Amino acid sequence: MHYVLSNPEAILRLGLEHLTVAFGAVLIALLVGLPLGVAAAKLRWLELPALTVAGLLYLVPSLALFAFLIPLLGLGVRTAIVGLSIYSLLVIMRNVAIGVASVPAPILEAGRGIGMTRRQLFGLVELPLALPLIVAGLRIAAVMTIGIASLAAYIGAGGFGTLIFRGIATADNDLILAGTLPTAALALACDQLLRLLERTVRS
Amino acid sequence: MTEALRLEQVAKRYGASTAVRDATFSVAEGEFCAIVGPSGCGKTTTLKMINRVIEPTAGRILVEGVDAAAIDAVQLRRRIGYVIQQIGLFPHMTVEDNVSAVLRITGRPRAECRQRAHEMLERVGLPPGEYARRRPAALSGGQQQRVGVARALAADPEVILMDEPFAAVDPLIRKQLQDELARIQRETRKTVVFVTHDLPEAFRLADRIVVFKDGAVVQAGTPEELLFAPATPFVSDYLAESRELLGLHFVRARDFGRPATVERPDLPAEASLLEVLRALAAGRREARTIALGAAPGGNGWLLEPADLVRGIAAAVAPPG
Repeated sequence: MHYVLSNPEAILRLGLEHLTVAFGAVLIALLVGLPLGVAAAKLRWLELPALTVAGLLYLVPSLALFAFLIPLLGLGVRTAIVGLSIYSLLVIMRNVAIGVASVPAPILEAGRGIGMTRRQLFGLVELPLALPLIVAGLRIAAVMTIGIASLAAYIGAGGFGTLIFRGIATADNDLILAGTLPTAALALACDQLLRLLERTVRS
Repeated sequence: MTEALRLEQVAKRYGASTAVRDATFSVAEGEFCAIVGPSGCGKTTTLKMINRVIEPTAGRILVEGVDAAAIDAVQLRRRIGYVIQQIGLFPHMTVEDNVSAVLRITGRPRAECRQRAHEMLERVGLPPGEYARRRPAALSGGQQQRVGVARALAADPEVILMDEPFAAVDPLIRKQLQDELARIQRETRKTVVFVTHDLPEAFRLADRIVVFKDGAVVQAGTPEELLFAPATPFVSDYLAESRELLGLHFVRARDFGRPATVERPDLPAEASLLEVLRALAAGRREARTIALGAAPGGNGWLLEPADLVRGIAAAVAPPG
């Protein structure tokens, strides 16, 4: 804790780096996962392959994934964001797919029956009804990503992981904790924030 | 009388199985038409083909004289009100938004939608001040179904389709809803096509009843015609043996008739409505008026066709 208290600017800078990587990763996962999840819910044939591929990618250890990506994207923030986004993708896509698929058939029929176009049905009925599950997926993805974003430091993307790796290298427990505790705090704060959002969209 | 709806040899096949073989009937403007028949007879499928929630495989459907297949399905549905059994209210919208949804999707201004929604809620007996801001989950089943009716009325369609709208509400509330629907229909003169397996409901509400069997229309006629001029034995058996009408066993037929001197009684004075129906099914009568009495030439009761319809309508179907 000594380090945290005596280096507030460093903590702030690392926190911003950490958030950039995690936020970027979740954002990409959302941008890719949302349409894919909707497609998986709509097109029965796509559901299994899409979730299988996302599931397999999820199983690749993150360090190995970074190693594969470095030749393509180089060291740094870009690789970290792309690499981490792959882990959020499965969770987000799955929750979007389940959320959209779980809208009760009579409600869809009513929407169609009163003359909604496909787009209106999606925007006014399916998406709002799937939203609680989508936000729940987003929350899990964000918390998870903030945790594993510590590894981003290993490939030069900064963040609280920097302190952890430096602490390991110099056998400095205070430094390791200085990286760990803010990461955990960030994850918890993010969890609470999204929980609040989840509750808002649910009511 | 102008035709609001006309179905010509409409059919629906799913692969090898046939849901509807031949639906041919028409509904006049302002008429209340009930479609009845045993489960699996294709009545719901037929209803859903009218607004093309289900696309017919064959045949022609004319809505206000226009071929439904020639109009864009979305435009067609916006001209037709729709109430389904499972209510189908949007759980994330307020009651007001549910009702005005049919207007908002056509891009009408918000103020108009709101005003219209309030008018419709008023019409179905839900004071908007109390109910407009609520979510469907905060309403009873009967109230939710009223909202469903209000939504179907909101866009002021000429034709309203209803698929067993009251099947899930308990008998007492159901009767209330039926009375209100009858009142609304009288006030608005909308054409209503109403699918039900509840025969008393059909007799209570309908001007005309279409009887389905195995995916085809067996008879389309007034309640009196069904009773006194059944097209096939199936129709009279369906009426006489239907589970929903078993309660008529406990209803005295003479309570609906008028006292008179009876020359040749068809049935004993204490005969129940069910016995009358069964006698009709068995063909044991000559005139359309049914005579009840103990002995020839004695005091008895005469039952006109309309009395019988009234009697059947008064029965309450057992819970589904």
